[in-house]
Amino acid sequence: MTAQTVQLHQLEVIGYADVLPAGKGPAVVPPVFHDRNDPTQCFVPPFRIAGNWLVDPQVVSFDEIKELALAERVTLPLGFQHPAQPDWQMWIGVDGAVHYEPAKKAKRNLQNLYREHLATATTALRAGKIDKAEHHARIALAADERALEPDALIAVCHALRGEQKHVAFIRRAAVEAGHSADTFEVLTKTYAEMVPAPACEIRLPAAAEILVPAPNSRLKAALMKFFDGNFVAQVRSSKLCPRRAA
Amino acid sequence: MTSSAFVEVTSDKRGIGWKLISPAKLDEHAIKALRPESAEAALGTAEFVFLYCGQFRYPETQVGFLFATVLEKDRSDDCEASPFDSGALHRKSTWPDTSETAIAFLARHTLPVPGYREYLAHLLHFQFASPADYVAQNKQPMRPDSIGLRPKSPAVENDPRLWSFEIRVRNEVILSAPHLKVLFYPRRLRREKTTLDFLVAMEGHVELEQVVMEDDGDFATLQSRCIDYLRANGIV
Repeated sequence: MTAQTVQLHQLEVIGYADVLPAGKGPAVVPPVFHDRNDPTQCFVPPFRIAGNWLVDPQVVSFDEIKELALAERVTLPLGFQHPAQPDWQMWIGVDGAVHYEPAKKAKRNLQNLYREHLATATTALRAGKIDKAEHHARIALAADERALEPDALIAVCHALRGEQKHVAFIRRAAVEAGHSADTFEVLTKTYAEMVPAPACEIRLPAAAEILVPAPNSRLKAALMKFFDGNFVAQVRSSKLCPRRAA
Repeated sequence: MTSSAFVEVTSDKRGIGWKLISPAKLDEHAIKALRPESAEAALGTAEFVFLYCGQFRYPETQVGFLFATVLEKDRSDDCEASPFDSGALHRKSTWPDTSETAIAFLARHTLPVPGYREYLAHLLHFQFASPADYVAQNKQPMRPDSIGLRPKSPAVENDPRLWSFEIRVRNEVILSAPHLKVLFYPRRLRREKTTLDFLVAMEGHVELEQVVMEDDGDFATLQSRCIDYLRANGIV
């Protein structure tokens, strides 16, 4: 049934229209509603929630919801049942835990997750643990998909592996999403400078070269090139140099 | 064909590249087991990849694909259509002759591709107030379904899957030009490195439309974006 509205107070949330096992979160997910007045029917996306109303939901039978869960199309966590509330949001944690709470609290919790994982990613980057940095930056990105920082950090991780196409794609996607290309480049440069390479020579288009001081002069410079304003970065060299005789 | 594929993101990099593969192939490659009680197993359609000719109607959809009509011509020998979603047929709907099995009902309503378009044109003309209502989110046919399909559960008054055309393509659909035209993806999907690899591989070959989801996280935004694209490009 379409073009209908249902009052939230007659509904209960019994699951969500996605499948996110542990490690795939965090993510905001659309709830699956069960009608308390008519237990044979459930409501699934697409729908909108306006105040106390669920607007234009797709109606499916309770039997079909159970089938969709078996087919791993929706998730019905065992024993999960919560009265539907206006201005509440459902989200899945990194560990797969289901949260249904006031939207403001959910946003706050997701922002906390974002900050926590971005900080961990930054620390890992400073320690040269690129895979770990990327992993946590991806979690931060999932916690706040509008944020630019995780994107920039992930781009640096790809750049360090010489994956130029990935870097260019992330940059373009960020700009398409409304971010400033300049801000992206400033952020990527900031993150690139955190990488404990002995010296990073960074070339900007038609701009002066910046030499980042090396913490260990025995290592040869890892050259990272930023050119054409497109932030196509590539590690060109990172080799040990022999110690000079005293 | 202005179809969108609403199968799960089944990206198989083995072999010849990224593609959508059928439930039988998913099972064969041990990616996802084919459940005996599933609609595909029960109706004998597990060999096919399922696409809609129209808007996607499945409650759980992550990515929208827009395919070009040339797919129908190139794959006409191993393609078939029905004026409803066969998945919704299985145990979710009923029809006038209840003694007729779902398999027989589906077989009786299976149409050739692209020949089914003649029937689709009639349906758009006679069943809807405006042809564009066929893909609109909150519209439904203004006349009773001529096939006689109706939801099995009395709680469900109308199910768009019962009047959305389905195109079934045997085995797999390669995700590349000229068959694939546009890919609509939620920004958050880039959280997965595999998805990013896939998007990077697609870039330059097909049009990529990034969708920033609304706070409620449902796919209404993705759905709207796909329809807006069709309208903006004069496809509907």
